[in-house]
Amino acid sequence: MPNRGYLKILSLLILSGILLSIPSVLSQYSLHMMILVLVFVVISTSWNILVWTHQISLGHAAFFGIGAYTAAIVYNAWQLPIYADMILGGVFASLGAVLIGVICLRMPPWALAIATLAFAEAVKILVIMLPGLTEGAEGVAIAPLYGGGEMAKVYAYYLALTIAFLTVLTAYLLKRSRLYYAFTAIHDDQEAASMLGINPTKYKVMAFTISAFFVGIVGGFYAHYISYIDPHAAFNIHISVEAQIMPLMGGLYTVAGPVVGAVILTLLGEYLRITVKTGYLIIYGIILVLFIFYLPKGLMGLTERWTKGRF
Amino acid sequence: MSLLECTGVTKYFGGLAALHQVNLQVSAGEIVGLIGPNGSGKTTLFNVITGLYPLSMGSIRFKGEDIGGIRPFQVCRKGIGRTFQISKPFTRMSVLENVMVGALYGKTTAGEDLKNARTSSEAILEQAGLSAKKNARISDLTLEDKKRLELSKALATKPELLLLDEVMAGLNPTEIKEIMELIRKIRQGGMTIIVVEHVMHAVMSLADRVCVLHHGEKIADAPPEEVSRDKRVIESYLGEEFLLASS
Repeated sequence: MPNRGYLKILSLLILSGILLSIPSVLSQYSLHMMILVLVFVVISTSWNILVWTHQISLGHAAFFGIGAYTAAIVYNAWQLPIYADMILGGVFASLGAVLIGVICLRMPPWALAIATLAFAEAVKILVIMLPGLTEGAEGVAIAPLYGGGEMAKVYAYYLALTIAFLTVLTAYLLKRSRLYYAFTAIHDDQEAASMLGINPTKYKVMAFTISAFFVGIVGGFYAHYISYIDPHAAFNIHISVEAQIMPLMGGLYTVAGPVVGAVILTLLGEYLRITVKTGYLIIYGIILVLFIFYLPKGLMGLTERWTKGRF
Repeated sequence: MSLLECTGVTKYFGGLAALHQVNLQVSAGEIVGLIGPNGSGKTTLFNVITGLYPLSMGSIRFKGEDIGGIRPFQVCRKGIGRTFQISKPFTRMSVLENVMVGALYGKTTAGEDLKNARTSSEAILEQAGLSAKKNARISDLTLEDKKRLELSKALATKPELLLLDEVMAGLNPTEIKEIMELIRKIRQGGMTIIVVEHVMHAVMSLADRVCVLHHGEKIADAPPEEVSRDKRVIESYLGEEFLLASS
């Protein structure tokens, strides 16, 4: 249907236009919010990829923190270009994913969830216990991104936008690829999948690795952006929780879902934190429960008739 | 040389021998029936052959190669396909996509690309009589459809040996006849098949040879007419001898 195709391309162009020109119209504070949104788009989209293999991680903050600390330590030690240390952050996060992924291979989803939660805590404690490497609980300071001047936030925004774009693109291509059949088969029935020639270990660990990689990169970005990282911020359970709620609200098993969830919940979270101050976590909890009961397919589920699961 | 050679296959669960010294040879092109009372070890034998359970003792050779202890996905790659007693479709995918999984991953990692996999899967669905429902969701399928789908998925992996585990369970007589036709068609295409069944007339009619398991041991291995008259077999079914009469 040519009309549908034009509509898609047009809306993507409009969206790109908006995204690229945002810095010129927003205040520093709003730009900061947009950067946060982009960070969570990456985390949310990555977490969702793991769900495609029925592996539910409650410890995604581990990968964020590993990425953040790797970037910070490497940068302070060798002054590598930030792209390099961010990618290294992604690589080390992936290594962590391989480790926990292999450990969790034979666990049912609920056990895996608990194991990943424990993993995040374990990594955090490890960081605190190695002050020689990580400055322990004091945290690591890094030279501000792009010199910290007025334009710094703008450049940071474009960098975050690039990372977010690459992450969402990866999810999109993945969903249209041969790999998605393996992931979904493993998700639905691992035994049946292996009887059809699919090696569950290979694909489950692969999903974990891909999921952790981008979170590690964006963790590295965040460390540079805030120019300071400490165990509490880097391995904050809030990150792990948001990583889950956002795709759930937006729509698991879709590509746009985690993005929609990230946008709404980041902005909503900030709004609630300003207006309600305390107890905004309760509201999060209520939202989560409401969505699980009434909108299990998330917001993207409402648009299913038009998107037909293509997004 | 036999296609499949099980020698002294033994499987313990704790202290219980679910399979004890089972010898089974299957030659290329045969249809071998595998029958026995409930709990006699038929599905266990399938699970051991396909690597779902490790062997306790004995050996399993497929095309001359020892496949004891290799993992299920490797068994599939070697050329053995298997359907499950209770069908296991991938509920989040359509009928066609279910079959495509087999086409994409059944042989090597490279497998087929999406377009080829779609074409070959459509052909398999055509053969299995599911073309009309190729885009259906699993929840829309009848029981017989699910059995046909289960068969199609296994066929998509291009096996040389097909293990069918009670594929006719729960079907009415018309449906059973249709599935029997399908199995015959598959055999005509050169497939070797081991059929586990409780529907006696179907097994006796389809099989060249019937093996009987009882308490994990093989007690008979002969053409259908002989088996249906074998005293030990009749005894093991304890008075269900009327079921053994071929139709």
